[in-house]
Amino acid sequence: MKQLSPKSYETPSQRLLDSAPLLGCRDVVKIFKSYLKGGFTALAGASISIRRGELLALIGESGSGKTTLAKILAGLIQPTSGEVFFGDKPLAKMGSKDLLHFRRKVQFVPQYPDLALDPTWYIYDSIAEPLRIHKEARTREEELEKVRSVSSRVGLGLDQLRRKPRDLSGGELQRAVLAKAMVLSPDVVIADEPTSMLDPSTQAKIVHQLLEAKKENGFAVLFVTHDLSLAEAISNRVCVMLGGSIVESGAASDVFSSPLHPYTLSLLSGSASGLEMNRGTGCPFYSQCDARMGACSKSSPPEFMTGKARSVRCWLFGQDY
Amino acid sequence: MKRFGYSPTGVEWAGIALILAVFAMTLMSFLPGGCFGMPSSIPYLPPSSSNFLGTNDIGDDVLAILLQGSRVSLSIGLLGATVSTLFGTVIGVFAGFMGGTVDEALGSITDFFLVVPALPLMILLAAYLGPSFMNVVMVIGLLWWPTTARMVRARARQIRGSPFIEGLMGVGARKPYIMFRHVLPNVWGIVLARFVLAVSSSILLEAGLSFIGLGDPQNPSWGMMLHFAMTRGALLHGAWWTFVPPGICISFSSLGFILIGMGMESRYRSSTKSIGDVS
Repeated sequence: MKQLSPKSYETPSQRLLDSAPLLGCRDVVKIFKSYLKGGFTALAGASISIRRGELLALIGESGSGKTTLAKILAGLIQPTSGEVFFGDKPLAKMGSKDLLHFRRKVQFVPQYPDLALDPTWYIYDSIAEPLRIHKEARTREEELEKVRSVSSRVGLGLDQLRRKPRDLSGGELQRAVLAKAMVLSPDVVIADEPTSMLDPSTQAKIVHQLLEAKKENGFAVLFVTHDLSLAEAISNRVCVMLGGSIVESGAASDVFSSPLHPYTLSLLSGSASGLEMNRGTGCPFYSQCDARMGACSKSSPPEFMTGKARSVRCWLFGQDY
Repeated sequence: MKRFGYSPTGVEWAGIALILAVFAMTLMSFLPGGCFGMPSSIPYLPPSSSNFLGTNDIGDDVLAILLQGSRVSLSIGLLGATVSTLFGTVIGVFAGFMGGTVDEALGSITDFFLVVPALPLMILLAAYLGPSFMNVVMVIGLLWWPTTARMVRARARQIRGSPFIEGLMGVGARKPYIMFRHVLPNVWGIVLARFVLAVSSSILLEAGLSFIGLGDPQNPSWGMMLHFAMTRGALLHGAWWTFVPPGICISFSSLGFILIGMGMESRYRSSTKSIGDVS
């Protein structure tokens, strides 16, 4: 099996960084209503963009808002404010035809493979279902051909297709979920920690198959993970999340070799603790930051561009400081 | 049957009742007096070789009426259960899956019917609508759905929160499609268990309504046999054969369905332990 090591896959090309965003969001805020606490802010003005054909890793600790952002981008939950766009069209203003096109072109791979498929349906039917919903296969034979092709690409045999989810292992289920996401030939696959529930050897196989399929079909991947070494190994670009906003983004090689934000630095060194972050005004990392200044506690820093496709939300990089 | 987690005793008892009902006419033709039993002008004749379960107050063969009654009791039981389960399932799935205002509105209606004392209302409705086979079925069906609706709603809500439904919405599936193709098959186990339990309840309710004289006198059921035994002096005559056999039939058939339903419910609970809300 091919071992995953840093830089074993693509690095971002200039063409990739120059291309127009395919899917993204601007200043997205998501507040979950809670009768006891009066509301929980999961996203506090997050902006992200995914370009055609790239692999963007979204990293951060548990509770940083990665899954919420991924679900908002996939159109599964509505943001409280802010805008999600696909191509040049905002999702909120899309008609039913455009929305259906978006549903076909943006696919979501959830975190728990054992709960991602209907337990009463056969794996074959679950994989074929998106084709049936979008009427993508005119005949049964065409459907069978498409399902077979996508299943063999992720390493699923006919034997597994004839079974129900309870009869498959975690790795096989995750392959089935990937096959279901890829059967409509999407432009973007949003994978929310797709390997977190699997053992290390299965993890590597699944990631390898996802990357091979990506190379073959050219779709973009938003890979949500808290596995930093995996993110470094596979991604073109990286976005670092903290307290519901993206604090740093840039080419994977740049972010991992020379992190700018103090939080990224502590995350990479393994000393970060998201539980102690500041949830009031100012920078969410203010209380733990060694380089904090007066401005850090007063207002949340805006996005400062420090290079081509490199940005950081830290007052240290502001023009006035 | 043990393999499926159903009660073997329940299956036997309910099975016997169903066989009696289905083959009632065939079994009646084997009676000594033919299809309607040995005619006799002597009332309250005790069990004998010519009348296996004796005769009633007008000299009719009790076994023949018992066999005929099995068809009425079980038909009402099955039809009443079908109406109530259908109603409860539709409301439960709709409320549980749609959530929000729809859930609140349907939940309030369900709660109203749950707190209304069912038996007095049934008596009132049965008396108002008049004694007929279909009226008894409708009264049972319309008043026995809230428990099914509640259980189905709870399960539908649980399914709605599971990632595979979220995934289907993400792929562009419409709500009616998800309800029929995914939610309904996943609540099917609980619906089936509730249906079997509803058959038992319907048999008992029909017996209760008929016993107090609100059943259809033209289609005598087991409950109606008890009613006639009480109102026409069988107890005074000590004619136990007119009320003990229908009593046994009602008890054993309803208990049989209860045991099957409970077995199905426990099996269903153990098989769905792994599916829950994950967010």
